[in-house]
Amino acid sequence: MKKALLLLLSSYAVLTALFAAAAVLLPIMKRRIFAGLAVGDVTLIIAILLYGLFIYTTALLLIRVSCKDRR
Amino acid sequence: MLIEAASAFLTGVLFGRWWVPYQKRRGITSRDIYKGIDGVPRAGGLIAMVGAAVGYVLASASVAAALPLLVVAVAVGLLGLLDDLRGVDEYARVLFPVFLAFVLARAAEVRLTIPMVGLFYGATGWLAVLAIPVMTNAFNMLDPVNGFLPVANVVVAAALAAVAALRGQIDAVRLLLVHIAASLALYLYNRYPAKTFNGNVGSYFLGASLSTLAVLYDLVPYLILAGLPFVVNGALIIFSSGGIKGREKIARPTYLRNGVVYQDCSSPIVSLVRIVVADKPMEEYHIFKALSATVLISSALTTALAVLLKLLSLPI
Repeated sequence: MKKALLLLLSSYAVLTALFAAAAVLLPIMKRRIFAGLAVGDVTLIIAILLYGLFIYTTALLLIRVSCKDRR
Repeated sequence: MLIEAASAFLTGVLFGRWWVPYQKRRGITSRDIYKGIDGVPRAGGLIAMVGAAVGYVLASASVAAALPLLVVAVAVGLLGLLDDLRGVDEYARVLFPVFLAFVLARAAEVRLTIPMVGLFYGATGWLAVLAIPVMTNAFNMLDPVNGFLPVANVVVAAALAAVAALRGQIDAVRLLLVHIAASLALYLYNRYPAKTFNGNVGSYFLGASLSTLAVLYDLVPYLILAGLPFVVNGALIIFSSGGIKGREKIARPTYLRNGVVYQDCSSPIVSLVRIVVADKPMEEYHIFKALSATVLISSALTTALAVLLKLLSLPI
């Protein structure tokens, strides 16, 4: 349960930190690259991928420790 | 406000009294692996769908959003029911909610307000509507033990109702109360030891109902925050299994011995249940309590965040 809470709380903290960073960087995010596409659109897609990778990597580290303990 | 919710609950409970034995008689059943029992009805989620549908129809007399919500949620729920009865191609399961989401984006005015940031500059809503297929599949991926899915829906919907109340969105609160009431009716039949499983109809309907509500009332970021255990579990499964797959096609990263669930260290798949039992092997009911605690924590944090943003006069 401790590992699940650690994963959940770190994921929650990172997500809210991303929101806060977006609020600070809003003028940059609004800049248009071409047509309707803005810097924020590209950033958002990259952020979603990196966020998923963060969750997965953290979980792998937590599992690796518990499986190593069991051997 | 409470009439629709009360009607949803009562309809769900009364419908369940007929639907659960009917499934048994017709052989719409599967095996409860934790308890080693065969013949457990497998499409109990229809209880929530029927209950909520009555509530949404009653609300539609005065709340315009109730009708598109009803159409999208019931359509996705029926796809889940079809899947429970006959099986549906996994691409259809993913693409149908995507199709409905884009229809909704064209038909309704959809906005995306991000906490602290404000209205998303594009304001086309195309990103917000993706919450419908994403959350529907995320709900489908995390329905591992008796009682968890309806309880999680009650808790997450209550957090969204609190945020909506802070914003003064009374209509959203009304519809969320219907969702909560329908989930509670389902819980009566799905609680440990379950009289019926939720089935794909349950996870699909509840996922579509809650995410469509969030899209229509600009609550998507709060749905992601409050329902973070579902998002985390979905991300873990997608990254570890290499794509979106139906839950039947993903090998369990856990194994059962004498009613106790252990993590399978040889499995490449990672899920939230595996993380939960990584510290200590658990019985089914303890997994239910642990998963419910994660949803309770993420929902409480989300409500607290909305209150804080309101106090600081930041965009909610």
